[in-house]
Amino acid sequence: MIVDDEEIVIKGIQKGLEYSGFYVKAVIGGKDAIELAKKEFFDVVLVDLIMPGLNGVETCRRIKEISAKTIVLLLSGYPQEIEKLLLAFIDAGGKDVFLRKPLLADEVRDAINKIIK
Amino acid sequence: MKKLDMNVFKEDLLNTIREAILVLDSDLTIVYANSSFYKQFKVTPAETQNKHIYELGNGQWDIPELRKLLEEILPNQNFFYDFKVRHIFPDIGQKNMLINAAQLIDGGRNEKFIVVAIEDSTEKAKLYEASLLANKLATMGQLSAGIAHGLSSPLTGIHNFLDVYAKEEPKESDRHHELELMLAACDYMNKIVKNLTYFARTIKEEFKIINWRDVVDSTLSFTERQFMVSNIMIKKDLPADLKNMIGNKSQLQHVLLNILMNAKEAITNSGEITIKAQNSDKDKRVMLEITDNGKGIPAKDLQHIFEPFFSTKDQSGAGLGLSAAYGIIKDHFGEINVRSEEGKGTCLTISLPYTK
Repeated sequence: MIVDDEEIVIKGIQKGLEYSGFYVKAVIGGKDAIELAKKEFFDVVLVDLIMPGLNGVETCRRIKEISAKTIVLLLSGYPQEIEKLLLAFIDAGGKDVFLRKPLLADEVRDAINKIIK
Repeated sequence: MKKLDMNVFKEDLLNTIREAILVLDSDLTIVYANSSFYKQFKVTPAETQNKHIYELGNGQWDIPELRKLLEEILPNQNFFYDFKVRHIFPDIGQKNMLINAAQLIDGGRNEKFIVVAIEDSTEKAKLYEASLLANKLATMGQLSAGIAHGLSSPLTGIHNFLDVYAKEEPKESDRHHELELMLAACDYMNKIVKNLTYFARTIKEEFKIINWRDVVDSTLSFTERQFMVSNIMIKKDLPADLKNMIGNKSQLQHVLLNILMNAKEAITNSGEITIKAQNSDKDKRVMLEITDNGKGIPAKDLQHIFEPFFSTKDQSGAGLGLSAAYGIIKDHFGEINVRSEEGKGTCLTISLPYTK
């Protein structure tokens, strides 16, 4: 699952990952992501850090409460914000790996492969 | 109250003053210079006395701004204050000077003299310039981060769509070629955005998972010798189960090094420094204590030690070490505190949040 507050980001990465053979759901905002996590299990969730409403840290915490096995990765275009919130994100159960925008689907694929190995 | 006879002490008074002082006669020949002048400008009395100011030191005092001051301004207004002059002296390099001058008129003999007081503001100017530069870089860093962030999302989307469309088109088609051109343009824009982010990162360095044991060991590896030479024993107490933290290793090394150097200076002959770390599970923090048995810090100074430019060292310190340490620890969401007793020693405590 990919969570961001911008449609062009989630649809773009979804398109790229689907082309590589992944099953991908794209969701706008943390609230919808949590609703979807209640209905369906995801191996990996890629969540944007700064979003209106629920931010990446809070979204991660709720998803981990629903599904402890899901790996949650951080996505952001703002390294300074990552530095401030990475600790809180890890505290919320997130992985200490972050993906920086601009981001290609291939980079996401490589990161996932590395973690699963 | 005793009456001070200025005539007796005037030479001593002038030589005590830190500013360089020159007295010129009305032809601008030097009739007097105090010892600060000789010291600051690296000249001898023989090279100075009875010389015309513009001939002094192979003409290095023939400064256009100074000429204007002495020849045009002074005759009209009798004095001036805080005239800024920046000049590169061939022998001693660039000096920033603040100049005060006044005309002295000896009524009895109807003679005019000029007294010139020169404050060397080179160091002050350097600090000011450094802080301007730091501010400028910080502003540029914020701007770069803002631009990079603003462009990164749209680029992510466009790049991914184009990438798939290009893969779906037959390789020989015009459309495939056009898409490849757009992809190359995306790559180019990505590079610009990433470079802007890297620049912003030079302001704030990368944070990683680190441990105080590693920070302490690596800092000591390149400083321990200095302490041995000074007869200072360093004791370490770093338990194996010490929790990790998120931070920047080189910044924390810098903090530790500063504290250790202060401790070293506080110890006069021989002494001991203890570095002790422990987990504090109740508030999820790692505590690091650096204790020395040096001369301690007077109570009146203790409240100022983290202020920028505060230093108790005579000449060696700019007073920025501990304020930088304070800033770094704050950036790490930590606390830094000090306890000290004069004659017994000082203890600095740093507490940083730990990770799982």
